[in-house]
Amino acid sequence: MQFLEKEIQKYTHLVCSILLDFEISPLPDSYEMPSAKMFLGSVQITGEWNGAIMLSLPSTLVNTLTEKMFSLESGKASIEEKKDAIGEMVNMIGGNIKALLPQPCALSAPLMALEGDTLHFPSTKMVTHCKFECAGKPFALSLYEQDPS
Amino acid sequence: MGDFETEICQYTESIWKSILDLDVHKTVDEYCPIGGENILAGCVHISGEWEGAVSIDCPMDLAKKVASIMFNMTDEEVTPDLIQDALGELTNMTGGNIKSLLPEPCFLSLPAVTMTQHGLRIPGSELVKSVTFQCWGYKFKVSVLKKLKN
Repeated sequence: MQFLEKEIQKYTHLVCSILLDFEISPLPDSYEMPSAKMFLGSVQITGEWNGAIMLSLPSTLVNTLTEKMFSLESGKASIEEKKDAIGEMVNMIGGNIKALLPQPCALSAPLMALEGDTLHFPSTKMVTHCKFECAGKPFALSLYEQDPS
Repeated sequence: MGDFETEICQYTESIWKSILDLDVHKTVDEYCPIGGENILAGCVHISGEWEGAVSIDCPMDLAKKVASIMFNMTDEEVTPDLIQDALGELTNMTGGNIKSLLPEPCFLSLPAVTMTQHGLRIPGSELVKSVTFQCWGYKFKVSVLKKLKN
């Protein structure tokens, strides 16, 4: 079992179902994520525990989630709305995960990287990587912890 | 607390000189990456009594040169991970200095580094000040952003 795996699954499910009325299901570790360019959203946690949470979604799912969050017609989501939607998602998931970590901890504003961009957290190691399916599309949530070495 | 321009200039010039032995100078021409150019952007978040972020945007070629100096390697020896580490370290040092100007308690996040053609995107934040610097033939910019009140 990975660090906080069950809690990450629980809160990701909760945020998707409450905020967006979407059911999600966990995918097995063996599932290979598509190699398509991903939309990335992250928040960082600072304090007694230091690290980052990163959400990685294909653009088709970003469109679906944004349209649902802002009640938009299909294909009408702007880039700003997509950033806001994914930023809000990762912020809510991050806020719940932060509450499980040693206190005091602070949550940063979301940082986004668009399709084709990469996002790295130097001096950290990935401690948890959970894959999910939502509306028939895969997405992943990763937790990075400061590497003491 | 002003718009941080003086402090951004002072800290950036001092950090680049002491860590890299490079002279960098503020320039009035803003760094506006051309379409399709790969930019490396480093960011640290500040949380606590003051909330926002400090970022450095620079061309990939400059980031590579910075890493080669920092790790005493040739351009060919420098790996993408080391390039990200180098920019992360510069961002961390700049952010740490800016944080010292802010009301306490404030916490500095670990750096995040993104390779992008679009620039950094931090929803819910507004730009306080951005200063462009010149180093060799390259421009780069250091920005302070403040979290918008809900």
